[in-house]
Amino acid sequence: MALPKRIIKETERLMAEPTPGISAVPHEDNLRYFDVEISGPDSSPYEGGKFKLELFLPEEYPMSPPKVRFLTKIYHPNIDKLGRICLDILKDKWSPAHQIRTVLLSIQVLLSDPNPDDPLANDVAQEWKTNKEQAIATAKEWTQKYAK
Amino acid sequence: MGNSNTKRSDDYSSHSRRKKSKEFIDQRINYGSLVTHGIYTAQPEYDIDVVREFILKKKLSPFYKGMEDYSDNPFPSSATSTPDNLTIPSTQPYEPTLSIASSTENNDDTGSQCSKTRVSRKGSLDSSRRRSRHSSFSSMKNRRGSYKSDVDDASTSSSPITPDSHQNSLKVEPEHPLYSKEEFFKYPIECPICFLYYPRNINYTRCCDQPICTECFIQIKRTFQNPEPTCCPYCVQSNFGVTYLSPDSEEYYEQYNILVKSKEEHDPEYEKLLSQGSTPGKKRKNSISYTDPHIVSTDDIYPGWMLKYEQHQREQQRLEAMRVRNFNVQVNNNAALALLDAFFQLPIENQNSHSHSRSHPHSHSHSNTNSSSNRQHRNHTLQTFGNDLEELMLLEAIRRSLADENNNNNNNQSEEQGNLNAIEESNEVVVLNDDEHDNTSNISIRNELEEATEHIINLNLSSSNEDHTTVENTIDNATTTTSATNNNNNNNNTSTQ
Repeated sequence: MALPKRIIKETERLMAEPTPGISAVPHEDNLRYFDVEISGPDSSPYEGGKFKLELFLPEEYPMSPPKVRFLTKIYHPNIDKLGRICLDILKDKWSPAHQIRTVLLSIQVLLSDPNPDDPLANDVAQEWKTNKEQAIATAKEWTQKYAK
Repeated sequence: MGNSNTKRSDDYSSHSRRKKSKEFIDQRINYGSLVTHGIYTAQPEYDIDVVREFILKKKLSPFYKGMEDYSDNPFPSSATSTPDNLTIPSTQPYEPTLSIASSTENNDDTGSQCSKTRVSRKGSLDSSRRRSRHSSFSSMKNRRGSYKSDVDDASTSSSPITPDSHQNSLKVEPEHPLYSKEEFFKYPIECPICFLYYPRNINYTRCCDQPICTECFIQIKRTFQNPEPTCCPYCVQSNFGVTYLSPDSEEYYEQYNILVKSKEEHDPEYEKLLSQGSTPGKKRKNSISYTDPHIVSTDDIYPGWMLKYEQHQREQQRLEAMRVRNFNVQVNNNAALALLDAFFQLPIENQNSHSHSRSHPHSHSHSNTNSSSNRQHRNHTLQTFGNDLEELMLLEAIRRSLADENNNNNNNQSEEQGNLNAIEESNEVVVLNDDEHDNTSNISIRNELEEATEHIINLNLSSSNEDHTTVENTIDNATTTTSATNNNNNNNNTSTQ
């Protein structure tokens, strides 16, 4: 199956005008599969960390959202042990007007702005709500430990 | 959800069903066609007949093969590139404040969109320009034979349509009386969904006035996972729909001329507008209601979707019920096997302790230690069924002993009591028939199994929790059924843990 023009163009634009703190490189043998790296946002517990993710564009893309997952271990209330991300635009709030770039930017924002009221990792969210200081300390610790 | 729209879609649905038997013949329409170009490979769920009807009625842009790269002039044709009836003379004083008081809302549904479009020009159009243009519109009018004469000025325009000018406009390009192919495709516009370039008669969203090509528009649909009305992909407003300005309309013509002029003169103001994705001369900024008859909505092109959805839901309910039934049967079978195995192969002392506990209700801990020590002796069938069953059997034993106590101490005839008695009886039968292994014992065991099964289901329903808590839950369930035994409750819990 030929790669849709949209995917080719998105990839080209990602390469031509990279967003600071975000990189996405397609696999040579599968242009729908991207190796992603997101820098932890400044003044967040993830600052200084480099987080690896994988991103896959399903056959229905852009009518269906891309599948994105953290590969780097991260302590975050909306990201579970398997790296799955709880983000509305990756699920029911997906719109075909979103792009790889906007999705990755949203994930970066999610790192700056965790939402423990809509958790995916229940234990982390609980900690985030009851003992925020400790939670942030753990997030920093994990960043140092796993995202360097 | 769809209210007025659903009504409309039903009409279309029945209509298209009637038409489906006819063989489809594609036709050219404004350099486009009635067939998709395969951007999307998924099996289409929209009603293509309805989509085609909308294209023919000029309520949706035709299908065009999207251009991969931008070019101001994608189809230059030296042969036809000099039709002076369309290139705007540079001397023409064209005021940027030209106000086009066009009101599409006056249009009726009959498909002759031009007929009622009123254009009042404050700007000065060169009179010869006007003439040639009106001749074009009139030629369309004549050819179609359905135009009312309220295309303003057309009647008052003193210049008669000469056969020559008529000929000219037709000679340039047969697919559109106003635009050659080159002109038609000039300054194409990118669809933000498929990233391909289309002629400027692309559809616009009703809510935020953003471009979207027909091929992308028809892909947006409600899903069984998210059956809510579709949202605009750009502004996320509910009840997604698009508007279309036919290139046959005067309003489009005005826009086109302003665009071409501003492009050719590199007007900085327009350049800025263009770079922001706006179309110079385009008036609409406000959202148009989704009930407006000029909107084509998702529900319009997916007629009967709600029916399909309801059907799907019924099917899901049926499958769910079947799944639960099958599960019950399976659990019954498994539990029956396991319990039978356990029952007939347990060491005798366990049976003894069991009946022992019946006559001595307060010796739970005794029976518990007994049964736990017996665990290792139980055969593998029971083990594969899991600890849950062991726990359940244990619970049953506790419950029976509690019931026993209850029965002895309190002869109140509550409904629950009746149930317990029934269990008691079946239990006794089991014990009595222990050595006989006949049919009656099997039947009574089944009675018992049904009781156990209920608890297993409870367990499984809450199986997302940790094992530990589910066991506790079932203990609670089991014990609360014996209403008058709250005091023993704590004992049970502690003893089982």
